[in-house]
Amino acid sequence: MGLLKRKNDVYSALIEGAEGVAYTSFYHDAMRRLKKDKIAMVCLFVVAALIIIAIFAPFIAPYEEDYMDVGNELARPSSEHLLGTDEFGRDILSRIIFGSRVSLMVGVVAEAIAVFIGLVVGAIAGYYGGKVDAVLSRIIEIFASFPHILFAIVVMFVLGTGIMNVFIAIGVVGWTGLARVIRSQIMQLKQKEYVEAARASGGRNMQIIFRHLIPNCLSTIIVVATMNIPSDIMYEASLSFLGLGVQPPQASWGSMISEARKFIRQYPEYSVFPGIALIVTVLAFNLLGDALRDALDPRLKNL
Amino acid sequence: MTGSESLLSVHKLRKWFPVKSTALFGEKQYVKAVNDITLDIRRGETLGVVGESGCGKTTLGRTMIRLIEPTGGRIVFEGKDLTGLNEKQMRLMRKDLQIMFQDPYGSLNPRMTVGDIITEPYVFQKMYTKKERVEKAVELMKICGLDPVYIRRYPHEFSGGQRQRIGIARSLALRPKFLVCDEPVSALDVSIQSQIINLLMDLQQEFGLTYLFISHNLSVVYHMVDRIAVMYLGNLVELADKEELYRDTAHPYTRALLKSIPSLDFREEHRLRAALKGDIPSPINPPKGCVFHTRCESCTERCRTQTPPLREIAPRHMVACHLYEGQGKLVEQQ
Amino acid sequence: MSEKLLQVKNLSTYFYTDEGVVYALDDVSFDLEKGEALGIVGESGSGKSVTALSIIRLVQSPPGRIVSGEVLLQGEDLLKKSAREMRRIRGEKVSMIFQEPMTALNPVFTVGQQIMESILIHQHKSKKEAREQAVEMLRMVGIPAPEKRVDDYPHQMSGGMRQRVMIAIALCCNPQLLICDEPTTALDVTIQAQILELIRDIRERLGTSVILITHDLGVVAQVADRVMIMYAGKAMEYGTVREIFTDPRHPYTAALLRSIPVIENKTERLHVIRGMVPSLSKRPEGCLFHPRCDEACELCRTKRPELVTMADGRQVRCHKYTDEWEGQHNDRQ
Repeated sequence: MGLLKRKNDVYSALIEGAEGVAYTSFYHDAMRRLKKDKIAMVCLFVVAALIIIAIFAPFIAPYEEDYMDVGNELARPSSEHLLGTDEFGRDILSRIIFGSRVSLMVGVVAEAIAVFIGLVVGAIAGYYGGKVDAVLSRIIEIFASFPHILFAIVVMFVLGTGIMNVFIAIGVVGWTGLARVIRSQIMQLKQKEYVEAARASGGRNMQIIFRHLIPNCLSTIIVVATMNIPSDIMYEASLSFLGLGVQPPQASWGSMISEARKFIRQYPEYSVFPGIALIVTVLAFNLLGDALRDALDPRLKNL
Repeated sequence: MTGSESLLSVHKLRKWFPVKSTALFGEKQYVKAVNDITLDIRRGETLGVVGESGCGKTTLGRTMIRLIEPTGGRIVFEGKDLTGLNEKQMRLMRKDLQIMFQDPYGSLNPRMTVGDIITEPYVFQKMYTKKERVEKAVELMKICGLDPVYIRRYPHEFSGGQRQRIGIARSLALRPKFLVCDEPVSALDVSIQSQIINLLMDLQQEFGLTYLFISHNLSVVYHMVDRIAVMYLGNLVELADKEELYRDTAHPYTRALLKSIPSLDFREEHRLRAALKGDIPSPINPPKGCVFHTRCESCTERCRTQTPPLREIAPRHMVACHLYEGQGKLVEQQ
Repeated sequence: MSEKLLQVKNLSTYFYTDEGVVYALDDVSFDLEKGEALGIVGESGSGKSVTALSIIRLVQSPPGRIVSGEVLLQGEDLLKKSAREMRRIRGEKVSMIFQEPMTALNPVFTVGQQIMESILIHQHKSKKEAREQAVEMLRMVGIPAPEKRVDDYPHQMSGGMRQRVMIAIALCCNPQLLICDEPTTALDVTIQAQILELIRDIRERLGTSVILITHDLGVVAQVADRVMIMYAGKAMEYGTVREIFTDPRHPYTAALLRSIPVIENKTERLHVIRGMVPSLSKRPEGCLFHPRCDEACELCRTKRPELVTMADGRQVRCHKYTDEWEGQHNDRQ
């Protein structure tokens, strides 16, 4: 924001009356459309709340993540432990709150890795075309043809367990869809006359890609990334459920559900509460992705 | 105003686009979009290029400034051969050679502000400081009839005519000597068209620009230009000063084109009659001999087999047609 | 006076969008005699296409809605017809051809199938008869070797050919009214001349009435008998071709005629209509054209002019031709 502000000041200083002129950028318009969408605003609120919870987890959670209330294992919900405790006497509510950190980090970091790989591969394939495109497209297809979860498991075995490796595994698995979308979009965009105009005034390939092509793909990237985040969160949960992801005592919704499975008959609430957290988060991101798609780019309706 | 000195000339300029052949062992096929065109543009003049869709006029304009790489031939600009330049040298040359486009919607990046669009050429050419660039943009907007207070607006907030003005400002940013105008008014409303045409004529006076004015609208071309080149299926069929072309039309195709313009003359006896039968042949498989012979009324056996050479039938009046055999001198030995 | 085929009375079509109401077509009236050709001329946003779509009731709804008026085809109000009756009328009595002949044809069917479909829907004919008629129609619109071309797919034809096919489809039930919306805008000049000749020829031979919608005054001069000039959703001037082209009375018509480059004309600079077409949702006060009009005075800025019918039957929407103008004009001087 600071950068934008400074640029405007250059204009205002030079042009009399410029500061009084209203202007709406594409994103202003999109935001206006998004604000009209009630479901989107609820989702946005849920996501914002999640982010706040994740950041301030130590202050919000009633107990430490690994605090064991010895003698009070597998307690039912009570005023002392709002959602009860697990088999080690740890507070489930606190663990869900701390678990949100893992889920959101997966959403952000793993998806950032996926977006980075997908954007680079997709942009290069789409812009240069020809043989470069043929080779990169085959690579995309090879990556896409593995079953995702199986591929992630293989990567986890190679890299070893640990939270960073979960991010890498999910990122490396999840970039192909975006790469394909970006490739086809760049192929269309590079035919535009403004790209030709840029070449006519001496623009280099990289300048054209970064100034003209990627900014025009941004809405697609935002939409695809938002819609991928829920599946990333699910992959993390699955990996942790299989014992490959987050290692104890660190909490993750997936690993909590995995552990709770042993007590599902006697203490169903132990697995239900992290499950609800997972469902609400995934649903919020999914619906937000839908709304963003409608607001940013109505043409992507059939994505 | 029009000097006799040549600013840009092309010699046997050729652009053939390969077509994916359907037969496995078939002969490789090409769209001969620009087929051995030789012409000369003088400093300060406006050369109009007219023709119907698929005649290669757009490709000619883009190939002339090497926005599309030519397949063959030479482009000489101010005595320098552009075809021999490497990418870096060419990038510097682009300051002198600019282009403006038809579509006022597709030619401006919707994610950039007007200021950023107009100053972008300076970024590419690494010219001026940021502050100077904004000053230049303000100046250019004023020249092109835009209020500079709108410098932070995005293209979608402007009408078609204003967008075209933004496009003109951008193409003038580098102070070019030669400007290719590719159908600059075709997408505009009638009442806006005249504004842009007048602006382009004023700018030519002010900056001593040389235009290549591409259009399918003969009336607009006639109003704007000094000389007219008529193209048909990638070939130059006639080239002359506009009065000469209109008065002593030589090529049967040019004659048909002129007759096809719907004039404002509403009288029954003056009403338009179709001057040409049939359609434009596919540029992938153009007719042998004279490309126009399939639709030509004066077609002879010779036209079906032999390509007519370009000959100068009157001073500075070139035509490629067998009807004028023996007249004037050959411009180019085929 | 011959019989009236179509009477449009006070037709208004508005679009209700997020940005407000768009007055796309506002209180437009005209009529069309049997066998007559009417040209509707205007720039983008003048409401000329909406006029056509409103007549055959194909306005996108929502956001569009025909808010008032009557469209009388041989005395029957089309706006009161049911959707089912309207489907019969479209094609049988009124047909329309569009600007883009590629998108109007379905790429997966041959042109013959598409013509036959239209015949089979509206007429009781066997497939064989329909096919014969399709070939006949193609011959009539000037497609060479129609027996062969009837099995072509649209992509195998050129733009001009496709427009001929569109005309064949439009004519196969012998409609009384043919509406052509920018029929030649996407075509080359030599092909445009062919299509215009075909439209004129059809009118003469079949006695079909034609409404020709275009932005090109030259095209209108070549085809139409009468002309309606539209601006910002309103009819500005209405008269015969001769009257409009030799003696334009509305300042907009006059300026428009002067702003087109004409080969015979040797003037250096073109006449310019300053400013731009107003937004249809935020229309100016008074006369819609006053911000761009050289003759505008106080009256034009405040009062919306009515359509004035003059002694010779011409209609002009301009204060210049009212009694109020005299006083105003003198004040200014």
